[in-house]
Amino acid sequence: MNKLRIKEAACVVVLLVFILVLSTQNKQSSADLQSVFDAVSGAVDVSALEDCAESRFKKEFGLDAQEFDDVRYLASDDVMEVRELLLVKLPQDNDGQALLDRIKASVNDKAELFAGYAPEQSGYLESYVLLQRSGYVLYVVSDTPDEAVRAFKKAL
Amino acid sequence: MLFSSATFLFVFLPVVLLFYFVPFFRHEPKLEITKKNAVLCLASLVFYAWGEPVYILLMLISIYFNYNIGLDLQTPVRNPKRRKTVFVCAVVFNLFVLGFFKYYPFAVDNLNRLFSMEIKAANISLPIGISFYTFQILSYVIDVYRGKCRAQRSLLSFATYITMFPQLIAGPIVQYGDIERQLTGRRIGIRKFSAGVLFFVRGLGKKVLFANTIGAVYTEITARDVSSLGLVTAWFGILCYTLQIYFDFSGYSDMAIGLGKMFGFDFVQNFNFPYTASSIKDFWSRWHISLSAWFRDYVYIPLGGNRKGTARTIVNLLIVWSLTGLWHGAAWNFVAWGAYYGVLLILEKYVFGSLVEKLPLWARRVLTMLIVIVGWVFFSAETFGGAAKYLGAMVGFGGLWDGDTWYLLMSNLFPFAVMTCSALGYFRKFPKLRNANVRLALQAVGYAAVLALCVVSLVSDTYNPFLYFRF
Repeated sequence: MNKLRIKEAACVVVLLVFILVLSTQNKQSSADLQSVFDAVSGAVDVSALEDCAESRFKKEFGLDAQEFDDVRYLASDDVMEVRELLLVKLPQDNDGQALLDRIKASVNDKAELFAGYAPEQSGYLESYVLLQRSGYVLYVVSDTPDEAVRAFKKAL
Repeated sequence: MLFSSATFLFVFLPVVLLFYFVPFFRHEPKLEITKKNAVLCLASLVFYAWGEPVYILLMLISIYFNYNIGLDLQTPVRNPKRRKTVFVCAVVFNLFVLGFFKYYPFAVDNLNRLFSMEIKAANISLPIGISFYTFQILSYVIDVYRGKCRAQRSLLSFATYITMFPQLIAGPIVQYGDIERQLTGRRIGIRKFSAGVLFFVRGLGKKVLFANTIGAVYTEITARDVSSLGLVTAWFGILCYTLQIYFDFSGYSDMAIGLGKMFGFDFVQNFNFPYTASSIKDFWSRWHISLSAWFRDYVYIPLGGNRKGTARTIVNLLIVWSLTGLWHGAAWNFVAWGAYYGVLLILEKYVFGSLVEKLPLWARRVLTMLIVIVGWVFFSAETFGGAAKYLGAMVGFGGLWDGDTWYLLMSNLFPFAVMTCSALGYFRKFPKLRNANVRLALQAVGYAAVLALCVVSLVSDTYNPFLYFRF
């Protein structure tokens, strides 16, 4: 085998290892949404938040909840309250990119809206968490976002 | 990183240009071009890693593999079958990379549905730009195999071709043959640089001032329950999307071409006022020209094109257009969108083409636009069912008007009219002035104003992804 073929074969091997590592890291979790949601909502203060209907999810993020396997969205009706919690279980054929893009856009819009006159709410928005892991997307605006992340990872 | 972001405009681009143009080897042109390529390649890797640090590795593997394949194909061999084997392996490798990262979850989902199985696919995000750079790599491998181009002996030059950040993540798809010579020697002058700046500013304006503005209207309309949309609102919504996707993508292409010129490269034109097309064939010779050219050169013609009789031509067209649809996304609505154009092109070629040609130009243009607009419904929808629902609203399932129709029309009529005129090319001939200096001065003021407006808009609105990034 000449040198070129060895290099080509090495590339194929490295590619396969890369794919294997990626696949292992991003394997879909078998945990159901309710158990993950219970864990996350237990780690943050959700007393001021209400369970939102699919229409509110669509209004906030511009996407149909039916495109996903399952969605739980907690938010407040109070316009001065930015804290919210969103947990989405992605279908296998959805890489979640559109949802992540919409959430980022929503956070930016809100940050712009509250900047300068609502420092507490702006602070919450600055420390928002958006995470995609094992077939789930977690979005939290809270005073204890790190706790939510820990609970989320543990529940998966 | 987005071209239309403050980080790119005020930090990344100036720093890269500085390193690119400061001469390190003033009297050694070969070394100087190598330095320029190194700066461009390194900058491109940083640009890519900004959003996708993990997938840098994937791109580097692809580059190194295909670089060696090129050399392998160039090496004289006694047995041509062996050369063919290398070529087939290279094509399989590249299609496997694209297939796995783009279509694997889609394939698994369809298998599960079809055979009631429960295969769990890893949730892997789509590496940004993979469809574009894989097609560029394939063009290189195929051209070297056919003997149309010589293999690139410099790994740096090859990596520069693949990674070049102006066109890395959303095209235009630059075929290797078009850029081969420019990689090792290109003219970089003030005239070309200035032309590049103008292209870039024009593209930035299209994206920031037009696409983002009209896109917000479309988002507002589709954020509501589609089944309650009135016919007029639904049509207005899809017309807004029609403008958004044109200004978004052609804006990106203009920026890419402009940046290419700043660095001394000439990329192919990607858009030529597609909404003035008078037939479907004409539309596709004006829209995403580099993709159509790629499919023509590397799929349609090798399949036999129109040289093997009517039946074979029809099959070839259907294959090419289904693949074009699938290239845009791993979903059935994209396949339907591609097949829709395949069928229409066949009908235009064999059934109603001669009838349509007898119509006056304006009628042909209106007819073409109607077909294109309906096509965008499939394209813009997240799912096939979503597209069907929206089409229902367009034929009046939700009534003629709804509560917001009048407000939406009135509050967006002016920008909509301006953008429509611009998309139809009414502004391209302005101003018709005899005095070249006055024309130049007006042009400079115009571009400066566009740039200033874009900067103001970007400062207040930081997140505005390009639609074509998802491909």
